[in-house]
Amino acid sequence: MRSRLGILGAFTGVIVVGVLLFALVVALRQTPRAFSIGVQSAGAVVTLKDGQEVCQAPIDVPAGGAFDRVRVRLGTFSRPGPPVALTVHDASGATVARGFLAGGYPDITEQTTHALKLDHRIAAGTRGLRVCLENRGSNRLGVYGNGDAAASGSTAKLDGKAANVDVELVFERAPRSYGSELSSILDRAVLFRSPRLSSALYLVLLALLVAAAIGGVAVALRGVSAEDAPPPPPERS
Amino acid sequence: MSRLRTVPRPLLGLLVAVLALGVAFTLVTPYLQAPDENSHFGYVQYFAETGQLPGTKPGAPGFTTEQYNASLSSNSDQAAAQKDVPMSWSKSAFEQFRATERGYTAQQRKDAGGPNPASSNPPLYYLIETPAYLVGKGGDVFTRLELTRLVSVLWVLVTTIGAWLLAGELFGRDRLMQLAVAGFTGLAPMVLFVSSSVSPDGMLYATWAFALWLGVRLLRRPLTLRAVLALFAAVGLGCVVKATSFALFPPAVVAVALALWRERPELDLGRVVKVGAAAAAGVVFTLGIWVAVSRLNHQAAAAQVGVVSSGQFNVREFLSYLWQFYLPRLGFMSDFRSVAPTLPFWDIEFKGSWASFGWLEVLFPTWVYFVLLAVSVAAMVGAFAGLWRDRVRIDWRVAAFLAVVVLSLYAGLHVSEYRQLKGGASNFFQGRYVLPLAPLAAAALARTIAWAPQRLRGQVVGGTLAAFVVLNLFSLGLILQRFYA
Repeated sequence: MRSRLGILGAFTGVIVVGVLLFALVVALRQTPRAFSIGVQSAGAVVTLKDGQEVCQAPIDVPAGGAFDRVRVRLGTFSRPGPPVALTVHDASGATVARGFLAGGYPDITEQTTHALKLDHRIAAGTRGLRVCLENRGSNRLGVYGNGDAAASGSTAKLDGKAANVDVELVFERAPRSYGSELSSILDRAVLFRSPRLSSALYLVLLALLVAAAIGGVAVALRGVSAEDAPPPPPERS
Repeated sequence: MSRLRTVPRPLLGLLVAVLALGVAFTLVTPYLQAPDENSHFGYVQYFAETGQLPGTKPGAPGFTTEQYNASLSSNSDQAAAQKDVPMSWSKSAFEQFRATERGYTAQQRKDAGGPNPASSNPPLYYLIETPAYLVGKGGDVFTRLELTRLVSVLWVLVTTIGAWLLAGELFGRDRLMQLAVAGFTGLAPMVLFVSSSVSPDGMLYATWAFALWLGVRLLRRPLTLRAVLALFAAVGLGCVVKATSFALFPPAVVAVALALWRERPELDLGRVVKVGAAAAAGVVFTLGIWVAVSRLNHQAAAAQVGVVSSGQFNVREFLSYLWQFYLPRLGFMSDFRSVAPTLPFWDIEFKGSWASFGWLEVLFPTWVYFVLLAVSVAAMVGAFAGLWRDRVRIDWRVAAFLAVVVLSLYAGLHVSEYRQLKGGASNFFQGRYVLPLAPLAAAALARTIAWAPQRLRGQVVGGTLAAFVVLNLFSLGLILQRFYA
């Protein structure tokens, strides 16, 4: 008879270690990302000369998406990057936050993105924002993004005129663990899905399913250990 | 209930586990965020709403207004395969879509019929999905998607049972080994993920698992006409699920030929004719029906087979392509460009067969795949070493059958990709396309574990099954993190 205790012990041991590791990853692994408008850059979509400005609007800050920095992708045409001013405007047009990137940074092949820290934090739930990037230097600046369909419901304008593109903008705040973001993650995960569940019920359901999986394998192993092991094959002469 | 009692308890427990994880994947994978799920769901929707096969109305859109608008609202089309693009997080957009959808007419749920990438697939899988779609007709599109996904999950249970039965033939009624093979198959993250999406691949894995079992069974026992009929019916059914299953014909023929060879010198022509007739009957009453229906509908019965069999074929070029799939290109070779960042075998086949979710952009850190590579290599080495150790005892007919299965599938996939690349199209090979062989890979891993001392084998199997469950837990977490964090 196979050792039931040994088999289930090995199974349980690995499960416990695995679940603990999972919990550790969730608790310790951090992300600075608050949200993005979902633009994956395909290249520089606008080129800003000295004094030109590109703005992306409207942008709604989702629940849990409060941010205090904006990450952008910039190209400098192999020259030292010009200073860049970032402004965030609310729906009425008032400036609610500013950020600045000092000049002299390298081209995109050496530094793919830049995070511009804002002087004010923008709260979750804020709607109708307009985020603008202005070239404050003499060198040209390539702002990366994609076609206008990339960010549904939002678009970029160059000096107030439709540019028919979307700028890649990733909104960040101080890194937080996935665990601390769990509530927001679940709130988003229950959207565009059926059945309609609250985020708490969704989490409970997933936990129950994982528990059922663990229980099912445990029952299976228990059933195997209850049977005699087959005799070993005869040795070759 | 008495029938349930005849199902071995280890298998029952395992099926509960596989079903639970499969359902979890249906609930975690976002709207249409599985490979080609938009095409497959579009096929089901059009078929269920109109009773007609898609792709029969040139000029019509490939997807209905409802599916298209749901994709727009949820950002699913933008998110597909773009790892930095999330699904929509907007509750107001979700509520707005649902309010709009309530006003949709019946026409907006069926105004497609144009070509979609899945429309050349045979209809069996989609026919089976249709009742689930219709049950959800009073609900929104997300309800119908979830219901069709739940039906799809049932196929991974069938795959698991097929693997259990196959292991019973390969290892005798050793419940531990059967549990290992069935468990490693049914709990493989990609098998679960693909089977829990709307995709004929889940049903394909199930038909292959049974075809493998029936082929080995045919060789292990005295040849009967019923066994031949069953094997070729499984092959024919597989072909009505997806054209990939045409790769089962060569090994099925080999299996029958080897079984007949065993009967000589008593074998006579009459026997051969009867066996041939049984094989033909198995195919005629499965694939044959679909061929007849497709002819009546003026559709190709197996469009993908045409890709494999048509076009130019240069052996040296093909060998060059094959080399470059698995190894770095040598200077004198023409460049068969791939979308893979490094080697196609590594980036596409290996990662894609173990764990790549969403539209294949959702990946673990690279070191995880190196660990899985070590496990895979150990399984292969252990399995071949086991074959060598048992070479006097093993049935070489069974080994030959299984070898032909593997070679036939890989030959079909590689020739298809070679021809597509030559024709200017992009890569064809995907890791999930080799998952019909998951029961064999699982058997290899189980055979490697059998090297452990008898008294420790149970613990090793238990620990390995636990590792599979944990890998699935991390996979679910990875999907949530990718789309919602």
